Amino acid sequence: MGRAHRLSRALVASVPLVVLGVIFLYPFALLAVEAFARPGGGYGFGTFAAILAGHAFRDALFATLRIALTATATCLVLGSALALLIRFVAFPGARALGRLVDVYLAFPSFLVALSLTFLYGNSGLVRSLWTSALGLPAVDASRSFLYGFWGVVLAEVTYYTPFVMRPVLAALEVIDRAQLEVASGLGERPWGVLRRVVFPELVPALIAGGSLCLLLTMNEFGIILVMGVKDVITLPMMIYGKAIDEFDYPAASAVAICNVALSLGLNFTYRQSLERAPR
Amino acid sequence: MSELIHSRGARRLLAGAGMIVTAIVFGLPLLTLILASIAGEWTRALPSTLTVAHLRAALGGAQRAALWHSLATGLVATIVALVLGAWGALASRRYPAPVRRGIDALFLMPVAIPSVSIGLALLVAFSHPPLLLNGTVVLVVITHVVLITAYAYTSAQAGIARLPPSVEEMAGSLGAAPSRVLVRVTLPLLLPHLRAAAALGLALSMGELGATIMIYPPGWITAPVEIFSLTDRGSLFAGAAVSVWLLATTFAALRLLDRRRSPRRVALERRRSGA
Amino acid sequence: MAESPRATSGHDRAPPRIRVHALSVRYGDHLALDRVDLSVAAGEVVVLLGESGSGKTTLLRAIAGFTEPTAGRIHLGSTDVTDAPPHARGLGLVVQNYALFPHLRVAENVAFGLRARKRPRPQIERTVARFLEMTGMASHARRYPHELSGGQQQRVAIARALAIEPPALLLDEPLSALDAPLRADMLDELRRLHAELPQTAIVYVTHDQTEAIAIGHRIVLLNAGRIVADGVPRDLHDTPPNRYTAEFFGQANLLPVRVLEGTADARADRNRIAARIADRTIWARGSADAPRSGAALLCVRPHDLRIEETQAQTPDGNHLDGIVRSAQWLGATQRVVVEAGPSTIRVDRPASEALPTPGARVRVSFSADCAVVLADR
Repeated sequence: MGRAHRLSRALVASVPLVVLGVIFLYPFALLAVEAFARPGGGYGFGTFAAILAGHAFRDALFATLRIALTATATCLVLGSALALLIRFVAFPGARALGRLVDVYLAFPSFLVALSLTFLYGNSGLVRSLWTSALGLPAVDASRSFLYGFWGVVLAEVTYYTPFVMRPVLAALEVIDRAQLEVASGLGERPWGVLRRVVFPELVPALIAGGSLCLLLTMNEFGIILVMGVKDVITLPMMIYGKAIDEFDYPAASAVAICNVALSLGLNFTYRQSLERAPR
Repeated sequence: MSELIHSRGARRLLAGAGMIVTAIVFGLPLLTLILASIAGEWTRALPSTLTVAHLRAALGGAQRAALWHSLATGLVATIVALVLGAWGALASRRYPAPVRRGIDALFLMPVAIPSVSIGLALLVAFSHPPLLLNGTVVLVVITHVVLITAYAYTSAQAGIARLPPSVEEMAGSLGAAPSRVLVRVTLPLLLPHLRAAAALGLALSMGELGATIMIYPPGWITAPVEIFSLTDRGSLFAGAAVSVWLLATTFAALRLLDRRRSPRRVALERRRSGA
Repeated sequence: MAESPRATSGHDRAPPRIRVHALSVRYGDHLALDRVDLSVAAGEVVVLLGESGSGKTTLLRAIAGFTEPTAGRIHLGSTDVTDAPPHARGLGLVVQNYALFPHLRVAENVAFGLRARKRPRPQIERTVARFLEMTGMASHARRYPHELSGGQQQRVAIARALAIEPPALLLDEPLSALDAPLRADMLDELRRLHAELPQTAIVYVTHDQTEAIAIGHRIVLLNAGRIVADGVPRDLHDTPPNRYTAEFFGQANLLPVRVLEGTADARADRNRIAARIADRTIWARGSADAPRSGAALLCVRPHDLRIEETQAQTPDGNHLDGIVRSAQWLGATQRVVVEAGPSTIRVDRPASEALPTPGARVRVSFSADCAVVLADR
């Protein structure tokens, strides 16, 4: 192998890295430039300082975290409950649900928001049922819960629960049924078997599924946009608003830098927890 | 199945609960969306008339264009992402472990980043010279490539990890040139994994909204953007109709690409198990 | 365990630890257990023996409460537990792959059942220590299951089952995951443990007849969901009640015979039956339900047969004449195959004797005490 040969191989190997550098790293470098640029020339933390001083950013950060944490906690509870039911109680539709979990990743999240609008929206199915079919007095004319915090949480729970179910189902699959039998043979009640034998085996899957869920709910945008939520502004929504509605690219870039740092930090923790998880 | 819950009554109760929760949380939204796409008038609890007008309208004019734009963007972006991802995965295995971890991180990073930020970064970067792509279809494709290359990369990596040991060296020792080994041995063995990555990438691209909405040019509105602008204007049923077509197209593309038991895959699996 | 515990325990009045009455289990079209009766006394070791699919594991799982019977009752002591969930039965269970809880240390595994019973902590610690000591695992109390060898894991599984001090211990193929030398050690170990806990009843499922003979006070042989034999190992070996049992224990010669009517009664005091085979009358013992007349089987073990000169006198006149087909030296013994009329007879003799030549005419003889007439079932 000559020098020239090795050089050409290195060049060939670096092509995808160069491409990714141009279409991914370069944009983020320019994003940083935009965020740090001072209007008069030069660089500084001016834009950041202005953003961080305002209430909008802090509100958006808290809204993002609140929604993501609430949705993730609900996903964890609902996802493990459904996974346990699929595994231990064969109910009609359980198999279909188990398979649905695998393709869920591929469908766009914002469609859930649209569906829920028809279901629970201002003129949705549930409200109409309430007033017309059941003959009950109309709920006060205010907007449905759907267009606030709980609507976003509901939509995110609907969409992201499978992301918890998948690893939990996989973990349940490898639990030795003899262990469950021995445990109940030793006198442990079903709830105790669940708590003392099944749950410890699920912990790594719950950590993995929960972290992924948290990351994705923090980054979620389509659901909130399509649902038309006005009073809940998350970080992605704030970026969108600053850039598209206000044309304030420096501010949008600064918020985006903060959001990216938050997400990458979370992702790093997630990867670490995956590596530390046994088996 | 009954190793945990021995009482039949409790099993039935839990089965009922599972069914109801599944129906309400997962079944009902999908059904409602489909129902909305064929609803003529929907002022009471259920639509009073049904119609295919929305579905038919969604196959014409701006909406058909949007579906086509999504499909075309998805196909092109998927192919580019596959090349990029497979190339990257094949190249990265030649590097020492620390370098490889760095390359992994680079390829996987876009998955962790909010799509809106990716859209904004691309918008900011390509509105400046030297790469002035703002307002072009190319920028839409680039955006989607950035978003889905990670999946192609991980799939290709998984395939490489499962390559039969030393099969490439064997081909090389039989006198095949490196390029021939790649085309005749390595890539065919990776094909099932790339196929799965293609299916996932296409589906993700066709449903992408967060980044696309930041950078789409007026002449290249994709289906998700169209759905958003329809519903934002209050045309909910039309939005539902486009959604149903988008889901149908995505699903068909998935089935076409990710057939679990394509003849080629069966042959490969057989060869691998040595039967 | 040569002696049956009944002779020593003196608990004849107490209800059996386990009583199974007319138990049937049906899976769809398949009848896995067909009206099975079984009773296990305190201190008794009962082996459920049979091929895979014979129903032995189904019977054990029904007793443990994991398989719902289609019909019949199960009693533990005087309590009917047919409809009780497994956790209410209090039986110790040991399975083939040990099923230790991977996230718990050895001592925590052994404490599992006691904690489920909410026993006070000092008592748990005492009991755990006692059974770890008894199984020789005390020095491994802080280890995790994956740090143990197969044999050690099995000891922990046994300690865990014994720690709840169950009235009966159920063992499902407990040694089949171990290799042969370790299996012999564990059998010794199980016998020793039982000697320390003489009141514990044991139900032991296996497909291996040497294991069954080594550990069982009683062997219950199952085939196709039914009990085909139930008795002391020695009796089942020496006087098999039917063809299946005779074939399962050792490679008995089974020769078709016709029982001569009336002979069973005539010499009833010595339990002898006369039967015709080829053109000879031979004498043999009769098994419990041997037919009184007509077609039956004569069972003689290969090592109970002798090869003689063609004109030799034989006791009771029990002999068959035939031609040597093959003769093979097997180390300590030799195996001679003799064709006598329609029957092929296998004979095992000491290697010290001269190896017969194939084709030679010989007389195969046997004592009436070593031959059993049994029903052809």
